[in-house]
Amino acid sequence: MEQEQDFKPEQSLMVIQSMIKTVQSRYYDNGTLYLLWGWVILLCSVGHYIFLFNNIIAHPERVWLLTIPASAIHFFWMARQSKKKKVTTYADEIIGYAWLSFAACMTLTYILFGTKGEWHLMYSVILMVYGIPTFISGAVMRFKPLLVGGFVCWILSAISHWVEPAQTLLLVGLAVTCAWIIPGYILRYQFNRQHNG
Amino acid sequence: MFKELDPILHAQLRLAVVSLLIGVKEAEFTFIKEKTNATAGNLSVQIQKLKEAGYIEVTKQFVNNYPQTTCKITQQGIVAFEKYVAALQQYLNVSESQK
Repeated sequence: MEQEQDFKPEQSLMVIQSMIKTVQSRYYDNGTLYLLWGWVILLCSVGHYIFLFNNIIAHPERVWLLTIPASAIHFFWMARQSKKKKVTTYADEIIGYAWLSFAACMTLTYILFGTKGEWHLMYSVILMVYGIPTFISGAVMRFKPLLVGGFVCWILSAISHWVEPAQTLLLVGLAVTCAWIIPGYILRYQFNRQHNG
Repeated sequence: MFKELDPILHAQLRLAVVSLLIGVKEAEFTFIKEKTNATAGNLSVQIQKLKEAGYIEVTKQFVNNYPQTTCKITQQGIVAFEKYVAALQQYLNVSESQK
């Protein structure tokens, strides 16, 4: 795009439209973190459920320790991405804050319910909390699978009121499949399609 | 009476840069170059003009021993862009009614 002498107002409008469209049409997220956390939480919740009903390990809840290496991978990946990042959108910022609030709420949920042994209530609240950043991210990115995923989390949170405490773990697994794993793969597909042609 | 189109913005590449930056928080020089299809030299000159007019902020830093130039629109740039679009709309409305 070189400088020109006779730049007409009609052309100005075209330039503005094309540049704004360029920024809007980009899929910045390749779904890596949705897939990472989706699979980790699915493994932990289903693993916890399975170990509750046999005696393979003494403390079935310890499968959740898998979230510690997952967090390390998360931060390593984020640090690497931030170095490669060429553009920061307002959408990125809003989504970032939504997930930061999520992390704070998850910590508080564990402190308020987990430390008192109220596991059933804790998982119901976790399901509700999962829905919030997922729904916000879907709205900001205008990405329907995340909107649906967030909504599914809330429905499952309501359903958890009527199921046995142990079965809430399966609801958590179902929630992350709908809210993070499926949208994560769709995001990855769209990102690859956009970046590879 | 037509509002005069801001001469800083009424240039294809400078307008493209500002239109890009209006939609993002900040963008790297390489991103802007890629999206505007401009040459590095021409883009540097136009970015410098926008910076001198106070429409954008330019931050230069080193990341992994490589220089990185990041651009961000200023409040003054946002106001100028809004005024430019308003003047453009006025011009285009009059042109349309004269047809």
